[in-house]
Amino acid sequence: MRQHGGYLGYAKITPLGLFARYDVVARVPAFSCTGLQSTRAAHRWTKWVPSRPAEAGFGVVLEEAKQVMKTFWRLWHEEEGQDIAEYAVMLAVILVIVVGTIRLIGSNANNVFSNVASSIQ
Amino acid sequence: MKKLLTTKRTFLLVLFLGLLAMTVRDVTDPDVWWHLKTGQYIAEYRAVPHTDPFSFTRSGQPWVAHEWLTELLLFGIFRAAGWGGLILISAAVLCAAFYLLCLRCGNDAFSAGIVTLAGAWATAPLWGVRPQVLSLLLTSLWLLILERSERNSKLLLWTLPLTLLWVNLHAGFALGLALLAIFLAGELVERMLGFSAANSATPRFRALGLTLLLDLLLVPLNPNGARMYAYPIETLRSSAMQNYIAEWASPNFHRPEYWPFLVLLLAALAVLLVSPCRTRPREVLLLSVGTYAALCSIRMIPLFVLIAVPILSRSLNWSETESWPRARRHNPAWLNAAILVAMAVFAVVHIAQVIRLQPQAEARQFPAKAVAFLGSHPPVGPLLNHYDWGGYLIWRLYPTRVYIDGRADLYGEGFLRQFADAYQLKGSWHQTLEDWRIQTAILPPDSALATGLRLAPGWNISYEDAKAVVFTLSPGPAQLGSTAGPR
Repeated sequence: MRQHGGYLGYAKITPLGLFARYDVVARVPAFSCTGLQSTRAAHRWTKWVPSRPAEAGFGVVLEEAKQVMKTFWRLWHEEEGQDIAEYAVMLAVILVIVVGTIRLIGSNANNVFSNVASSIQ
Repeated sequence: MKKLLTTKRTFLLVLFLGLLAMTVRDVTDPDVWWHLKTGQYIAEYRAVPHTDPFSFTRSGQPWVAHEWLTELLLFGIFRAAGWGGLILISAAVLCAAFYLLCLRCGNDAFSAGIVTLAGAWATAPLWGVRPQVLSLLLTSLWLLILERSERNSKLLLWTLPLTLLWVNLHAGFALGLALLAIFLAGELVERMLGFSAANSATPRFRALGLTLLLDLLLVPLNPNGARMYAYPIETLRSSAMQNYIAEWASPNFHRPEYWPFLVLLLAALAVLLVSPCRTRPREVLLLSVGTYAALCSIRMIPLFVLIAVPILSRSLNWSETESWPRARRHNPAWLNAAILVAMAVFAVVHIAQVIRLQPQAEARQFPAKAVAFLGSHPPVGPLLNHYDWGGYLIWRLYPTRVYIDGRADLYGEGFLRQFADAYQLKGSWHQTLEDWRIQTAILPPDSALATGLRLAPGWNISYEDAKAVVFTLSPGPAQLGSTAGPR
């Protein structure tokens, strides 16, 4: 995995419904840039390269997963990305809380007698 | 305003407002009623009972009212603010426990908040108006003190007043002492394995050892005296509790309420296996003990959560592992304020609704109408009742005494088994009723014993509704003039 060079991978669905992998290669050190301007600069220098062959195997998938994680990492740490990610997290937390508040009513395991096989309907 | 309402602060406020709404539960715990009555008893007689005042089956026998101070507090709050006060304060206590947990989860508010929420969800089956919530808060505070005392050993002094308070609030104080002992053992293991230099570990080891000793010396300073050394161990080892009481059993992972705990457990194991963060031997020791305890008993899930969540958080905390300069942030204060207000409205509406619906919850969970009937038609002789309703009957009908209630430690293994057999129509169930000269019984209509009594000669139905049925024994030569007590 390259530390510099803005190596971003993503997947695209082809008309045949198959995943074709493309790599975006940026010629600026993407992981040292902090602001939006640097990211834009990276896009200017971007070019498309064909995907790796499918027979590259699990290692390629792992590499792509790492790139996706790096993308998330960037999203989290760059200025605008941080804002979006933080509000997304907040929204997710609010949803969990609202669902939890409604669904958790009456699901206590209190000091009740364990009445297995104690009832006859 | 903009500086005050940063996204981080808004997130934390939203999280804890949400947790307050989540932890608000209606009063359906079967024990809260006898806790309130004990609090009332202590307030009226200005003395802590040492013998059982509430049942005829254990009348006059020794009873350890280990939660006497909590019971007094619960009754005081109930008298001052009613169910609303009790519900709200219990939720606030839980939130405070989770806030202290969040403080132990590192600097990144977002990852700390997420894992705290996950941990809180795992403990949800144990939420409610009950003394255990105070133990959860004190355990959380205790762990914070123990962890921070590595940098400032004077913090350990705070465990002394805490022990004094805890030993009078709940028998869970033993957890604090056990955690202190595990920290001590952890120090020893780390020193043996070379994780800490011998010269730096010795003062820490001494401080922890001395604190444990002083805390142990403070234990007898309670109305039950030195009995409180043995009581928590007896409770933990009680097979009656584990066999017959739902929350003392192991978590049943087929039930969805334990899935958050399962997820947390698997996540903690995964972190130990794959995380690049180095886990300290002390943490492994704590996690092992917490996992064992939680898998043995549902009641111990909060202990596991309080141990596992900070370890998980540290592993997820990217900002600590990879420092990245935070750029100037856009903090749209109006958006943060709007989110906060929306969450506050949601929390207030939910809390108000739970408090408003408390009478319905009571009627849904307990035989309110049947007990009102017994209030107007007092039972002529010993009253047999369902275990889960004993506390409610004590609250509503005292000085009428009950057959059994939530104090499983008082009744013991033999008596609980006898009750379970009678309740499930096993063996000589009829003999049990005769032995205790039962004249009246209040039971769930679909229970096996209720079906048995419907068919038994001499038993008549005095009252019945969807929740409960009251049986009365017709006066006969065998029952006339008899008094309660086993033959």
